Amino acid sequence: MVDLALLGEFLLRARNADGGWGYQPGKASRLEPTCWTSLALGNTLEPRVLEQWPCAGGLLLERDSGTPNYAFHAQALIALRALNLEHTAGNRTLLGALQRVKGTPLPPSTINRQDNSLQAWSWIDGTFSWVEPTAWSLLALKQWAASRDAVTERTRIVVAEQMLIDRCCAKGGWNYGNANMLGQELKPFVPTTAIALLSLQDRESLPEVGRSVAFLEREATSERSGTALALALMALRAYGRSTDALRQILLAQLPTTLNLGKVTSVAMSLYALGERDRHAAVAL
Amino acid sequence: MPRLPFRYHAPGVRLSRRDFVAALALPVVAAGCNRRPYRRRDFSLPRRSVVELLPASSYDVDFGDLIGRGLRDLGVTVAGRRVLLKPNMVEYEPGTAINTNPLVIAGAIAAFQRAGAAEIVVAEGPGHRRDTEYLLTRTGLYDHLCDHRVRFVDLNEDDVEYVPLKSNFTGLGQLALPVTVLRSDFVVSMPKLKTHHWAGMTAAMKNFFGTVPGAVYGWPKNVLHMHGIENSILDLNATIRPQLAIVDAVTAMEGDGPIMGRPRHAGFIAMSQDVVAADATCCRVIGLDPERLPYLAEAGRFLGNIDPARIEQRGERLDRYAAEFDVVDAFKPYRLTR
Repeated sequence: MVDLALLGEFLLRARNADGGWGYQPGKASRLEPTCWTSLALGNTLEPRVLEQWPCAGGLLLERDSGTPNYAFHAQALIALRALNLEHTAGNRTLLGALQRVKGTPLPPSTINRQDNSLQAWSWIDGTFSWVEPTAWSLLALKQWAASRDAVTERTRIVVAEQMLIDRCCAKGGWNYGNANMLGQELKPFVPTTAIALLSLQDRESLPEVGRSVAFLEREATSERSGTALALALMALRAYGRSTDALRQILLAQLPTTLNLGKVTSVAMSLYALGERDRHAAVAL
Repeated sequence: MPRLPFRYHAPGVRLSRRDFVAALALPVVAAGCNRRPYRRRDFSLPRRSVVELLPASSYDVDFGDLIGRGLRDLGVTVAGRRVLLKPNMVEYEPGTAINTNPLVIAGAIAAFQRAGAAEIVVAEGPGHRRDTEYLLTRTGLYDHLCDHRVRFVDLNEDDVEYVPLKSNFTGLGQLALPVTVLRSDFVVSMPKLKTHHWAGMTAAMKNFFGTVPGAVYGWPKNVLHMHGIENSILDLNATIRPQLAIVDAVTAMEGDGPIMGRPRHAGFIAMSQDVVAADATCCRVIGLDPERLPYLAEAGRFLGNIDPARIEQRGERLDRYAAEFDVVDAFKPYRLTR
């Protein structure tokens, strides 16, 4: 078990001189750990690094001088909204850019049972749509759709939902990519299931969502890591399920997460356990 | 044995969607090309490559001792050098043979520590499971790393530098690669020997997909698939130039590898300073013809030896372990005629 204050101290010590966070202490600042650490610590830290994060064509770069990564760009939109921050390029610009990018389509598959025509979100330019970038983008779009000034394309939301439902594993939950391959059903993973469920928390009546919530309730503790347990905690809470046991298991796992120096996992865990804003950042 | 033509994609040329699906369904063996996508003067085939086949009937053997013996016999010197061990860590599923066994990795750590390595790092960037904390703890590797006080680097999340590719079969020209790999003195590929439904076999060379950073390229490192799996294997090995292969073939995998296949006892560890020769030998052991696996056939032209006349087999004889591994239908025509 660890004291939550230790997690905060670890994150503060891991902060780089440029204001951002790398995936491990001492590593260069990257968008994903910076988003989660900002959410975990709140926006009291100056300078507010997310507001000035490097950007090209409305898309945030995965790191300084890097290229855009759409999953992390979506996470940044989630964090900017939750922290009430405005990026120097304008949050509407970032939102518009996210809506313009699409995963590469494929012809009908002969190797797996899925609808390859659905263009949701890929990780990076020129590749296919995958569950994780689609789920983060869908969550961001749904959140911003509720904002007064934001313009969101309904069709992108519809297609992203279709894609996630299409990729749902036979018994519920999500693999990181395909639900089946070469005639074999693939198994769902806890972290991807949790992220997908966060993006579909307004669609609880769908049978695929119901099966997936049941999978997560059953299997949430089977993948012992800060990331998997923290994401599962946030997702189950979003669906109103009990998370007391999960909290204890996450607390017991965190010494390992800290020992591995995983900044994103520690930040996710602190956010999930900390109750700073009752998970408003990932709520719909 | 006639050499099959190898297709590569010229720089700047992207695979069409149809090409990509074909690349997924079948090994790439199509139109040849006249100009090779590397400078001949950057590469020279070893006059002779030594491959050690060391017996390991189970995971109960002392791998520190066994691998140490292999290092001495191969004449490997690592005193004062920074050694990077790159295992194959993909997915955890009890009772399967997906990952390099942690006991083999722990044995290699012990052997390199005894050999005087200045630093040993275990590093992997899975393309399948993003969550390395889960993989490390469930496989048991985490405990071994703690026991040996060895650092683990998640290559998916490491700092990166863009590096010009030493060959350009993919047409990518450059790739972001982890600094931990680039700054190591001695890179060791430590794969699990498995059949592979896209590449035929995965061993020491294919293992380097795990050096491509997911945080830059996403999961499952789709850019490598888009530009051809065989092309990517060649470019990564030509650029990283690993110094040693230690292949875990104690329990290997056959059938629909690299994840959904079945465990198959093979009973040995293969070691070589020529990763191509290590792969070619493993390929022959499992009953596939390295001259016909596209990535190995091409690698044999510039990266290392696949010709048995230029491979010196030491330790156990190859035919002691020779078997016909089950492979997916696409690779059945690639079987050796024994």
